[in-house]
Amino acid sequence: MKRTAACRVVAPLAFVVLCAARPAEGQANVKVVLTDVVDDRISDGMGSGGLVLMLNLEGEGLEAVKSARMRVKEAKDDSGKNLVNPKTRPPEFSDRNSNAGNIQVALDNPPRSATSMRISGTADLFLPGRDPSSVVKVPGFQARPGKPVTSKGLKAAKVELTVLSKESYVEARKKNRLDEKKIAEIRAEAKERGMKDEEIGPLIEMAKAFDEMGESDFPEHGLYLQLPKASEEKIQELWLETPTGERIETGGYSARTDKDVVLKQIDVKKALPRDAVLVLSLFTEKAIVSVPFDIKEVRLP
Amino acid sequence: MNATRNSLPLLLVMALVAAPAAAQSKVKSKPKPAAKTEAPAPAKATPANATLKTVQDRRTEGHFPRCTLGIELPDIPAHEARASRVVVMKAVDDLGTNLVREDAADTRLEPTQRGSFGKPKDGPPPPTIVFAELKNPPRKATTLKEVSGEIELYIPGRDPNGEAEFPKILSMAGKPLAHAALKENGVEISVLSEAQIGVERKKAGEAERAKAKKEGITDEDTIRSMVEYAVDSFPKGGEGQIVLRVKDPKKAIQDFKMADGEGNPQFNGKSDEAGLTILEFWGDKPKPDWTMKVLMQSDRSLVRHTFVFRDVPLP
Repeated sequence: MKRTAACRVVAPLAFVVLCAARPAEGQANVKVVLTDVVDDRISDGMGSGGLVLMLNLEGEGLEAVKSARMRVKEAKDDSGKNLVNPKTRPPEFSDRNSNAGNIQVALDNPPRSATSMRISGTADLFLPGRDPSSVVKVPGFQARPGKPVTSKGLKAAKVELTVLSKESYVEARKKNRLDEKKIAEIRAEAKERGMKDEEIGPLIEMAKAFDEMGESDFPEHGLYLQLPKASEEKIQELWLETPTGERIETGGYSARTDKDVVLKQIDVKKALPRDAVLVLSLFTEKAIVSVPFDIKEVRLP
Repeated sequence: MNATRNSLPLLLVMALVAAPAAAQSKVKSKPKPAAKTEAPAPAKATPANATLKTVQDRRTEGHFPRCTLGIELPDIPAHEARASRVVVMKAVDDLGTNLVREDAADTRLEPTQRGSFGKPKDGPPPPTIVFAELKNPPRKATTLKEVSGEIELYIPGRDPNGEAEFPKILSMAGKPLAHAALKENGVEISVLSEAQIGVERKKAGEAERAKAKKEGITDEDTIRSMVEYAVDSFPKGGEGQIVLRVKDPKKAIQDFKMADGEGNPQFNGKSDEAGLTILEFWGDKPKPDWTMKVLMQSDRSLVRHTFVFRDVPLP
C-alpha cells in the first residue's frame, strides 16, 4: 500500500521533472548562421557608422528558445584589424519572435581595403523550461504600493520592483523629464562629437519632441512599475494572471530609462483585480545554454 | 509585449541618426552646370553655394544599399526650405564606375527633415541640408571623381502667394476657405462639417447601391453588404481627422501644415479617399485654436541650383 501510494506521488513528480528537462535535451545541431552584413561607412565627424552582422540560429528544438544573445569573443578583418569596439555595451537578449530571430552584432568598420572578416563568440540561448525558478509568480503584488514587492522568487533572483500608484508614477515621470541640466548634457555630448551650434538646435528640438511623446498617455487601468535598471535587465517578460492562471489581457507597454531607474507602464484593458498575480520570466543561469560559434569567412559587401 | 525604451542616450542617438549633417566641411562646390540626364524642371538653375558635409556609403547585399551625400546650403535657413529633391546627373568614381541610379531622374520633391521643425525659438537657424543618392561605389574605389546635378528647393516664403494660413481652422467647418493665395493658385478648399460628412457618407452608400444594380446584382444581402462596406470605409471625420474637399487643377498644393495655438508644429498624415483629402492626427487631436497652413508651389517658390563636387574621398 505504502509503495503504491509512493508510486502515486513519485510518478507524477517524475513526469513533471522529465517535462522540465525535455527542452534541454530538445536542442540538437544548433549553430549560429550569418544572414546579412551591412558595412555602413560614414565620413569622419559623426562616428555613427559601423559594421553590422545579422546572426541567427539554426537547428532542432529552437521553438523552446524564447530569446538569445550573441557575445563576441573575437572579430578581425583579413588585414588583422580588431573590429570589436571596447566601448560597446554588453549584448542584451533579443526575443526570438522579433526581427525573425535575427540578432544584430555591431562592430567597428573594417578598412575599405579589407575584403573579408572572421567572427567567433558564444550564443546564449534562453530556455525557461530548463529552470522552473526562471518563472516567478507574485500574488498580492499590489498590496503595498510605493514599497518594494516582497517575493522569495524575486529575492532569490535579486530582482527588485515597486508598484506605483498612477499619481506617483506621473510624478516620477515628471522628475525624469528633459530639464535644463539634461539639455546641457545633450549639448555637451553633441559638441564632443563635433557638432556645431546651429546643428545642435534641431537636435535639442527633436529630443524635446521625443520627451513630449506619451507624456499625457497614462492609461486609466494601468500597472505602473519602478525598478532598478539592473533588475529590469534580468526580466525577459512579465505579464498578469488571475489566481487561477488565466492571462489578463493587457495592451501595449512602454518604459523610460533614466540613468539607473526604469519606469514602466502597462496598459490593462479593465480595472486590475486585487487578487491579480504578477508573473515574471527571468534570465536565470540554469535557463541559459551557451553555443560557441566561429564564422571563418564573412565576405565584406 | 515590446518595450519602448526612451533613455536619454537613445534620444540622442536617434536624433543624431536623423541629423547626419555634423561632419566637418570637406569640399566646397565648384559651380559648374552639368547635364548628362534630364533636368527636373524647366526653370533656370543657378550654381549653388554648397558644401559637402557627409558621405555615407551603406554597403549591403540586403536591403537599402546606397551611397548618400549630405549637401549643406548655408545661404538657406532650414526652416525656409520645406521640401527638396536632388537629381544626380553625373556620378563617377576613380575606377570609372557610373554611380548614377537608374531612377535618378524620378526623384520626387520630399519634405526636408530640418524644415519640418520650423524656426528654432532660440539661437541661429541651421542651414538647409539636402541628400543626393548614388549607387555604392565598388569597395576598391577610393574617391568620387565627380558628382554633379541639380537641387530643387521648395521655399514657399519666396512667393507671397506660396502660403495660405487659416487660424482657428476648426471654426471654418462647413464653408469654403477664402484666401488670396488660394485664389491666385486656382485652389479651392472646404472643410467638411460633421453634418456634411454624414451627407457624403449617405451619398457614397447610394452610389454603391446604384453601381451594384447597374452591374446586374440583384441579391439584396449582397447589395446591403456592398453598401455597408462603402459607408464604413468612407472617411468618418471625428476628433482625430480634418476632412477637406480640395480642387487643385494645377497641382499647386505641396503640403498642409498644422500648428497649435502657440505655433508649435503638429504632425499629421495626409491621404486622399473618396475624392476627399483627410488630415489624420494620431497624437494630440485638433483643438479650436489650431492653425492650418496650405503650402503651394509656384515658379517663384521652386528654386533650382546646380552643384558639382570633385575628388571626394570615400569613407
